Amino acid sequence: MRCDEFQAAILAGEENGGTAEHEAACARCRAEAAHMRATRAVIADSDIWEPPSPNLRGKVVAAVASEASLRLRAVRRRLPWIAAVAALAVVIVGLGAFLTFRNPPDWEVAMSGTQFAPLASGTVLGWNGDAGTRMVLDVTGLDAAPPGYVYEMWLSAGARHISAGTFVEADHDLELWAGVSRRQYPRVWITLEPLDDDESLSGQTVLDTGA
Amino acid sequence: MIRSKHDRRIAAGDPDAVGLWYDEYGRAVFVVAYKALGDRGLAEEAVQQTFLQAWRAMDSFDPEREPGPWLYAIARRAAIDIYRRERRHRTVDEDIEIASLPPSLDRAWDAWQVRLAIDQIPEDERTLMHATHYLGLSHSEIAERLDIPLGTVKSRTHRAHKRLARILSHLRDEASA
Repeated sequence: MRCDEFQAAILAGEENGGTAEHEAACARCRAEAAHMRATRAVIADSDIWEPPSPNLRGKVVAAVASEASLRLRAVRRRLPWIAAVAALAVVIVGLGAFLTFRNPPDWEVAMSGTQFAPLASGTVLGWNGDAGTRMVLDVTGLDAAPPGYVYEMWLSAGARHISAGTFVEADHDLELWAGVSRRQYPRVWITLEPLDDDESLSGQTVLDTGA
Repeated sequence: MIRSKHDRRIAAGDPDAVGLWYDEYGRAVFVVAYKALGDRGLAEEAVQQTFLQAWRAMDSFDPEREPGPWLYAIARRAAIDIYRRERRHRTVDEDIEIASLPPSLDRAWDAWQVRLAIDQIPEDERTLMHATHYLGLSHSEIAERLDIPLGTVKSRTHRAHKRLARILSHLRDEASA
């Protein structure tokens, strides 16, 4: 039995006298056998085979196209020679905001940049709901998160911190959500977090209300 | 190289090109999200968030680099965000353990790699792998169900596993390193 046949047999779960003989004789395959068997368990895991809905691709492309359209509108809004289009876009955005939120925010709080982002500043508008708090973040002077990092917004009460979500770039109004009330979690702040397995806070606070 | 063409289109902000990434990585992203969340609807929400966040972060993406590990990290993070949000929804306890992680996330990287490998093998071999490992059918049952000779099922299944072992060889190298 060759090594590739041994590996195929292990993955297929077809172990027999031949595979045992090869494993005993081949040091390399013997070293890899445990991982091969673990991989076989992954292949046999039903989650691997669970298919997403057929229309998910369309939803993904539509979501990105929608965001691209909003960005394009924002860029056009900045160009003075199409002021009329910009005005229309403002009306559309305003109407959208009205339709989205319908009510004025329940609270508003300003945030200041820290030593990690001294040029950054921002405001957060909040709408209190039964299931939590919806927030719209408006930040200026904050660079996009470097590769391998995201920004994360938190609501805190003392040492208890609740994540309101992550983002990479905040060059326009960004909607975030937390499942708690700001009455109980008054501090609103943003940290820069590495995309790794470490779930502890990085300590790199970039914006903070300081409450 | 086709990969670079795709990735350059995405890096240039072409939203339609995201569909090409979805074709290559969509199933694997879904597997990671589904393993973490155990719910199809939430997993699909995480998939949308993953590709949207990836597209938003395109300025920081190098099209010459392999996008898989980068997308995996975003997918994992999106799934964790949704997992924590759902935990908060379901509890009235104010002392929520925010550092909690989905219990099945520890094998997500292996699941991601295996799903990508499965997506690389030919359709006919993938069908046999699905019948063998997911449906738990014997070679005879597969031959009957697919109406192909038993010998063809055996040889094609064997070829599929050899191909899969070859594609996944880097995982064994990582594990033994």
